[in-house]
Amino acid sequence: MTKTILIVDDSATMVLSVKSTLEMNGYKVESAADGALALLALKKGLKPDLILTDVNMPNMDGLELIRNVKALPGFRFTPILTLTTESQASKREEGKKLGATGWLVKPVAGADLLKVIKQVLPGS
Amino acid sequence: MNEDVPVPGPGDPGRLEALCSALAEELKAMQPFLGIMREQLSGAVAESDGAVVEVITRINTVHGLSAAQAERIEQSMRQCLKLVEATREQAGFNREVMGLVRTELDTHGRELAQNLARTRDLNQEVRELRRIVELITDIAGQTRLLAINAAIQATHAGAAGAAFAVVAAEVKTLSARTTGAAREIADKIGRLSERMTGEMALAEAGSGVVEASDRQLRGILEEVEALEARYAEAGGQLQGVLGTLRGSNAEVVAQLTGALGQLQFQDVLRQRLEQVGHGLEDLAGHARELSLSLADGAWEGAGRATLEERLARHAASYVMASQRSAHAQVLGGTKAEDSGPAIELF
Repeated sequence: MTKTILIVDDSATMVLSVKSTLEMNGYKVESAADGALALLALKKGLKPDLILTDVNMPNMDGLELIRNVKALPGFRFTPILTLTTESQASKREEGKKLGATGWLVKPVAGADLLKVIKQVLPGS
Repeated sequence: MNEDVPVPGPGDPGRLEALCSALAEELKAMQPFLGIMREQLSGAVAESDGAVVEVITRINTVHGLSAAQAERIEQSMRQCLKLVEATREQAGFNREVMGLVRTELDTHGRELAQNLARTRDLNQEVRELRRIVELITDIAGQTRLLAINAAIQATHAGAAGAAFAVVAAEVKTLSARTTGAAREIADKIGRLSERMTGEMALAEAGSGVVEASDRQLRGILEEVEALEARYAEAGGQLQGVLGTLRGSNAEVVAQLTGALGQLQFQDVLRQRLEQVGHGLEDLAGHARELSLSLADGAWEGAGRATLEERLARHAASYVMASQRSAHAQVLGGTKAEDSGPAIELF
């Protein structure tokens, strides 16, 4: 069954690049431009198998998004990966505590991204 | 500097005021200068955004075309495979049918050979019969002669030989009848023998036809078997080509995926350029405040952020190790490293 991934990033080119990579390799992709829009989509019924989010975004950043998603009914076990330029250890640690599944620092090679997603989503 | 304002000499009391005024004007002019630099950076970021979007669009187009072509080729190959398989199955079926026909031919040939042997035996016995009929004819002839002799002797014997003459006459009659019967039998045997000779010739001809048909069938069977083998080989080759095609397509996807990943550099570059743009904006603001203060003739430092403080605020907002490294390179300090691996699963 085709897995769905939600990409959250305020960079349109980043969303387009990752979306193209994932769709080319058999995934269905939805996207949101920031954490607030992503949360709204989830509350409206979007049920992705994985969330791939940037950290530094306007309106709601990635860490806040992780906190909110984990509190949402039905999303406690949804894997969330960050894909970010953020390199501070404190942010990484905070992400881990909030329940992020993994931390990826941009730029990530396409093959590596697919490999990580396959590890996190067995059967994809 | 404003050329209408006279430059005071070294001993002029108004020199400091004039210098401050000139400096204020220069600082005021820095704002549009820095504004222009910020706009250039924004423009560059926007252009690179546009270029990246175009590249991604082309990559997606290439992928679409490649995938469509691969699908078309694969469909054709699958149809070819089906045709080859169906033909191979048909060849196998034909081979089995021909095998059955050969078996039937073998049986028929054996039966024909057995019939021919029996017919030859029969013909031989008929020839034997002819010989016996000839013997009977011969015996009948001799018996007739004896009867004639006996009649002559009976005539010589006079009245005493009258009964003997009757017997002789009967024997002669019998002999004539025997000869007639033997001739009739000989005729019938002759006709029978001719017919059997004809049947033997037909049976031999039929046996020859069966042998020729069997040889032909054997030849055709060998060709069908060879054809079957060639179709099996062709099927194997087609499967191999399909495998290669799928591998090539996967390689194309991998290469395009790699190219898309490389384009992420643009997002990193954009963030760094945006940071520089914020810095230029901050610098322009600082220059404006300085120019206002100098125009008033007094620098009210209290409550205004110094350049050092502004730089420290920027440093606090850095997200990338490369930004911190560039900062440390100019001001001195420890070169920053990434806080952990580029990819980490918790």
